[in-house]
Amino acid sequence: MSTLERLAQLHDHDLLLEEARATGTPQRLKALGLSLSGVAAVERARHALAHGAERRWMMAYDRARARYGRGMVAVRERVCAGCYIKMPTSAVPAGDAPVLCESCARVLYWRPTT
Amino acid sequence: MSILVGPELHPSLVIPDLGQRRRESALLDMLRRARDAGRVRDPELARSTLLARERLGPTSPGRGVAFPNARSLLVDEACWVLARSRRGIEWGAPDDGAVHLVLMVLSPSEASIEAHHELLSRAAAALKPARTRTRLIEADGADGLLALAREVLG
Repeated sequence: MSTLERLAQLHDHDLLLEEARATGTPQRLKALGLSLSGVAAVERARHALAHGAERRWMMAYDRARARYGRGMVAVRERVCAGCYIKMPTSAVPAGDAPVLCESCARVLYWRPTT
Repeated sequence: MSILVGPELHPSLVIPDLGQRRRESALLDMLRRARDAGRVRDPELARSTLLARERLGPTSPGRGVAFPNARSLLVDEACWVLARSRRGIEWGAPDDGAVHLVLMVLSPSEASIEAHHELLSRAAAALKPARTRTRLIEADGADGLLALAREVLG
């Protein structure tokens, strides 16, 4: 798993845990016949993802998460989905390597769309 | 009165006869459809997110239906993906039954938890009546399934 993929998975695990811990989620899901019995398992998986990530990228992720609530955002149509700044024309998606938004310093999920 | 406008079920996001028997393979087939329709990036990675969601608790309430769902960085546009399996898919449902209708609910990471749950609730409400489930399973081909699914999803 590349660093970019690991951070993307970490981000999605954080979203899942945020959802599981949100007020009203257990009741809402119970009304649909669904349960939340595996929070601890997802927490363990999250821990393993964080533990295996490069330290410098984890620091960048945690710093952005502490500041904005999300450590990573997608780039869509060359626009950072966090701060909505357009990527410079000279910038290109870096494949499997993460990059930081030059404006908001969130970690960017930016891969060429095929 | 508030009116929620949800995503329209796109024809290419309806799979009338999913051949997979395993949940993991079924999820990947559905995500590849969503990728081809420009809704999702990197289906394999998105499947990992959906499997993490399954670890949180199975997304099948039983009765032959499942609602795999997630908010994800890899989703560019909220969407539903509907798949039907005549043979059934092993899903780990509480009633141990096979799943014949899978209605996937995908939201981008920017979506609020409430907005995502609203889509999920609509999906669950649409497939709750036994008669609706029977009609969807018996609907004729992709066009018939799409028309009926659009009707019940509103």
